[in-house]
Amino acid sequence: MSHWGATADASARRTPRNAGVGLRLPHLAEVVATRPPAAWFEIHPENFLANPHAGELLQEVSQHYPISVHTVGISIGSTEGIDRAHLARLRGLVDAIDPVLVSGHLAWSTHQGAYLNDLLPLPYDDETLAVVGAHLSEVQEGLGRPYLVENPSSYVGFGTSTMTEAEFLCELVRTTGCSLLCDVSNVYLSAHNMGYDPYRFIDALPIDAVHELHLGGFTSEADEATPGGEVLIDTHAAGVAGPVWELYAHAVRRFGLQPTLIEWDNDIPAFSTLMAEAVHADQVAATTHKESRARAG
Amino acid sequence: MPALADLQADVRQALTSCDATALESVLVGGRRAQGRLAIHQRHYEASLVTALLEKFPATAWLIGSAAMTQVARAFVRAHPPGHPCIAEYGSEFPIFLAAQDAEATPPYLQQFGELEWHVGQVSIAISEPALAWSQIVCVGADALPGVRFRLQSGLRYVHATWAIDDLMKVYLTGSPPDLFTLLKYNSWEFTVKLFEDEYKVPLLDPAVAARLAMVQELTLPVLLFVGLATRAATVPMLGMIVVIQTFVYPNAWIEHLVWSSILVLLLTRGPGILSLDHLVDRYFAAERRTLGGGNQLDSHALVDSRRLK
Repeated sequence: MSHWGATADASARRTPRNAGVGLRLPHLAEVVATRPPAAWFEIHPENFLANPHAGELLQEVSQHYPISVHTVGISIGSTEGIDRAHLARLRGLVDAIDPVLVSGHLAWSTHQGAYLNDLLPLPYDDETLAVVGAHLSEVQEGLGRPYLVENPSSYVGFGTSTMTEAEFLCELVRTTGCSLLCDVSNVYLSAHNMGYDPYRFIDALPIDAVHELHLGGFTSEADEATPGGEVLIDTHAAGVAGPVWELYAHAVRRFGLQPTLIEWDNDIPAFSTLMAEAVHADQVAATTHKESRARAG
Repeated sequence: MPALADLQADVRQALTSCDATALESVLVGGRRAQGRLAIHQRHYEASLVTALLEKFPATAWLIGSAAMTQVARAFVRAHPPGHPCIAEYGSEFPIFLAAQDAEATPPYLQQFGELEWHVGQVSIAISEPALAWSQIVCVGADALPGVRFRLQSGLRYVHATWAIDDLMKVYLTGSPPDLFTLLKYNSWEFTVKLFEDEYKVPLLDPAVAARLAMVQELTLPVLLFVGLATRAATVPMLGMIVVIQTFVYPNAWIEHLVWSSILVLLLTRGPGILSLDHLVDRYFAAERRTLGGGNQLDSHALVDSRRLK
């Protein structure tokens, strides 16, 4: 039995290079009991803040694994501002488990006290840049650590945008000095849904700003907006698709070996399935990295 | 007002009331971008409806999942979550549920939903180690006024007028009995059930025992209070105490002893002057005196004659 506040494993403090997996509540007890050989875990703090029992188990997990905190509740793009109460709760959790990374989405979800429980799209213009930039500083200050911004999964955009998403992210990095989390699956499905080239998107992102990669499964369905067409939904309910692995290799070529996360949030499979995906990600990353170094050398 | 704020107000409107007309001209994505906004509408509604269904499975079992889903949908439109921790969402759902079609709704539905909400909250709470007496006694007398006790976070007090805990037990055990009657607290059926399950008085039929106890408990104390037929009234009371002591709560002998000592006192010494019995005595004594006023010899007459001597 480990004690709260006991010295963590040394490995729990190192920023991992291998692929980690998203730790969801159905696997929590198993992970505490069996300590699988996962490189690191990423959690959604909102699942633990309101669940004291899960929070206690997470504390134990954090003694043995590096943890990344990936929030879904910090609505960085809402004009009404950051929910200070939630930020304070998040700070409490972050202080307690001392994560190696903290991240969230380029999106918004709160409006006049209502939390809309979805990652909603933003128009990419100067006003949004100012709003997101100001909130980003507030969040980083409130948490006392850097906050990585993730590219969203897009189904719909705004005609009022004056920049592409990649241009917007570049501007955000330039004006705030923030780091990025590149969700490769989001790049793939957003490019499909909104009609642009995912490889050019990756190539447009600032090379030194990307410090984490995400991989998740999507679901294809008939597109109500385009008869006969299909839209890709970021369900995190399946394994990583073939074309996304190829795009991932491209991302590794550009950004180098970065901590990569396997996300699976719905129709959650056995933990071993997640581990197998992580192992595959490591293989793809290692092969790609070796090839690109050989080419460069 | 900045344009982004307006846009977000419109998107919120589109999500919670499914009215996206204000956004028609600004959306892009596919040939008819409003169809894409439907994805977000669906995510908002489906994720929260699922959360409510997961949180209230027993309530769904009670009213049927179709009705439950329908009310959950209405609820998420009318009451969006106030914060991002969805585990805390839904405490007001039982009130909302009971207010829907109030005439067709069973009267215990809200209480049942509230019980389920608390059961869910308790299931994720952490119990802290209980406070030991030794920790309490070492608090100095001057510090005592400042001492505040905190209940376990996993402790809930739910006030209910229906025996919804019995109904919850039926759900949780998954084996409904052939016949189940939901009892209302303070009802006669509930009293009989107490005699059946809790008191378990032998020989007597629970319904008979309950009626007997009720009649006795309602009449005998009144007799004792006004002091009417006092000695006679103590006998069934003492009998009842003997039954409770022997068959129901043997550990409560201290209370039983206190009650009995008072009753035995009344039984052996009588009610005293502050009683109807005393008035009755006086009335009959006076009556006898009048009746025996002639040459008949009675005790009073004797005394009187002695005094006269």
